[in-house]
Amino acid sequence: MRGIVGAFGLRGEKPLVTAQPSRWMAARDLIWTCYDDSDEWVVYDPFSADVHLLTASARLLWTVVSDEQPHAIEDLVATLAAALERSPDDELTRFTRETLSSMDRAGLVRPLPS
Amino acid sequence: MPRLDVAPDLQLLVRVLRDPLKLQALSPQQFGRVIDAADQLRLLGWLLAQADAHHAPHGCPGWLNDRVLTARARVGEYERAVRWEIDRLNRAFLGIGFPWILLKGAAYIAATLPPGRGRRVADVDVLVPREHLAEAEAALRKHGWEFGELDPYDTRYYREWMHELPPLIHGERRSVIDLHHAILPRTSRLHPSSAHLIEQSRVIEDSVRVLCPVHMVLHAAAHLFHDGEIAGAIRDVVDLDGLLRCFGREPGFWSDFIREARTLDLTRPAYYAVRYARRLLDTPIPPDVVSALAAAEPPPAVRWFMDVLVRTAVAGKSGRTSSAAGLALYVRSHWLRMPPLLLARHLLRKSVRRYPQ
Amino acid sequence: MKHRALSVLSELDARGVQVAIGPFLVRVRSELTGVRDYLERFYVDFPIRTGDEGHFDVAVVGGRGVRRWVRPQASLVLNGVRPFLPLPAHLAGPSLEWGLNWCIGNNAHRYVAVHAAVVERGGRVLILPAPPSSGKSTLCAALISGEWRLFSDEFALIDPETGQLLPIPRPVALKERSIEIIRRRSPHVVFGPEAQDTEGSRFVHMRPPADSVRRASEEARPAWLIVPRFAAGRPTTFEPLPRARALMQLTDQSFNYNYLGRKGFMCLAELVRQCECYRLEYSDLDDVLALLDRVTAR
Repeated sequence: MRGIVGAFGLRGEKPLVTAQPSRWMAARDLIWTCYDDSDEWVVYDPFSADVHLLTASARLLWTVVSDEQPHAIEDLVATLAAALERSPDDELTRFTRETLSSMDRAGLVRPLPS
Repeated sequence: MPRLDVAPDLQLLVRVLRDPLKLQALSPQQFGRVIDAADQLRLLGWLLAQADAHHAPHGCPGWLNDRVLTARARVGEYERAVRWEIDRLNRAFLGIGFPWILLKGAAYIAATLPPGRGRRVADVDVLVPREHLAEAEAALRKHGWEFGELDPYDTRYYREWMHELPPLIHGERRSVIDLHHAILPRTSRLHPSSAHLIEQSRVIEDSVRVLCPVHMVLHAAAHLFHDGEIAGAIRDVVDLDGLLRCFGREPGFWSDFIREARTLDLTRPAYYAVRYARRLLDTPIPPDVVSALAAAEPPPAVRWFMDVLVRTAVAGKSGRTSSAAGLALYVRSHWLRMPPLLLARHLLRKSVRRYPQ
Repeated sequence: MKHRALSVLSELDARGVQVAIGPFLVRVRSELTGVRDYLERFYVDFPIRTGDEGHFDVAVVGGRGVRRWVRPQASLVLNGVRPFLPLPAHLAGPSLEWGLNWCIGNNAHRYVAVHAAVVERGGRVLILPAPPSSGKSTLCAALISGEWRLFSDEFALIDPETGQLLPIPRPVALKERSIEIIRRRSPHVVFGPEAQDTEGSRFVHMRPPADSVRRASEEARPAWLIVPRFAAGRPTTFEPLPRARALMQLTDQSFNYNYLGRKGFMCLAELVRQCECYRLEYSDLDDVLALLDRVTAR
């Protein structure tokens, strides 16, 4: 299975993520690959045997989220906004929720019990 | 025109099952055949574990090395797929507030038991308390599983007669979950208490649970000698043998086994399990256990009939219910599940669909 | 040589014959004359001897009961498994190829297998991964009628230990209009009789070039990865494909990288790193062949 994680306006599923601060764990043993002709990443998860294509911003979101600390959505949006040099607006918030939801569904991140 | 012999070499596999040391003496061609037979009977994981233990094959031609490597890759993937499925179940059931218990193959893998090694699992079976069945169903559907296309007859068959909801199939992975609230059908004569099974279940990690060892064995026994399918007969006896050898060493296991067989009213399946594991695979069973179960012995005619059926099933029909013996066991198992009138109607319907024009 | 092949084939309905196809030893058995004829026509240049061992055990058996003679059928038995429904007996020979495809895709995890056409020139390999409507078989057949050596029209076979591609030259399957196109270009090539497959499409097999078969043990390094797409009436367009996207294409088209775990994925990731990667759309065969020639001349 493969999917593109991080593109705006993904498949229309309802995000799994709620507004509460959540703690996340990164999946272990992921193999990340990138090439110098674009800023997209390919990640292979040996556990799911799935391959995913991530935009640079999705990869950034994954990195931030995966430190096992609690992260409110607002904080994540702010961090991303700073890194991407754009405003933390509704669009970015939507992107953050949907990307997090996709990564959750793909098993790239796992929610920790609160 | 001579008829080519292309059937999997089940005789060879059974010889190896009874004496794994024989693996060392097989020719490369025989080894290749036993790999094929084992894969067909979902025993490839077992076979490779035995091959490792006995350092076979040794010094073999390149093609056989490649075949063994391929077989290892397959069983690795079989196991990975189930472990991933269990992980996704854990995710789907996160925070759900009631216990959910893995049964059969998925349980053996989760608990890292010998019958789980490299096991190919078709469906993942999950037991939940009956009062929470709807919530469990809802959680799975929220996480991507859905019911397949079923006609009203099948839906009724599943919900009313069997002990299962229709299978839930994941939209992307096409993996299958069977949710149960009981381990035997509602229409069976026997009703082992799910509450009791759930109460005694063990945690593996997170919220993943399996039955306690004694219940795991009794369930395997009930599954083999009550369920409709004969295709897994050898596989299931090997499972029982693996479980009994593994758990039989634990202090108190055997007395618990007898006690629970009586509590759950599963002494007849327990009797058969012990009988056929011993006969087919020389499973070591303490003599007092054998005599304790003698009370559950069926009348001689029934016992003889079962002996023939099991022997025929194991001796090498390829698992299809096309042989008379295979069909008889299928009929017998269904007879235990359904009142005769329902059975006749159901079998007629099934046979019409199984052999399309 | 043909005489030797003939005598060995008498074992087809008994112990069987062992055919060396690329890195694989394939045991073939059949009672059906269609299979014998097929082997004589297409595998005459391959090493064949009697034998009952090999990577794959392929048998083509006659139908059961009355279907042995009445509207006769053929069934493929692959390592003891029957993955397909029975076929009409006149497809018994070609069914060998479908059986081999199944075996290589499912039962050869020593290598990473990707659905692709693969050709080689000057020690460097061109890989054409094959999503639907790629036109890869026609393209492949046209390339090997020129200077390119045939590795395979179905599988890129990659050794994860070395990163090299392995040839498995076999008869090339052509469908519908491609049949006429290639016949016109390559009148010297041996074609089998035309038939209809199970979906009603016309198809034909062409014998692999003898030189490709002779050099079937010569591996080579990957150099170009080009994803083709046939689009009727469209001009030839050609653009670089970002490697991350090329890798996604490859994993999409790979039958078995998941069986090889990390090793399989890293093999493909590394292959992409070594290749110039492009996307290609075309409708004119001559045009696209000229383009490929220019691109791979560097």
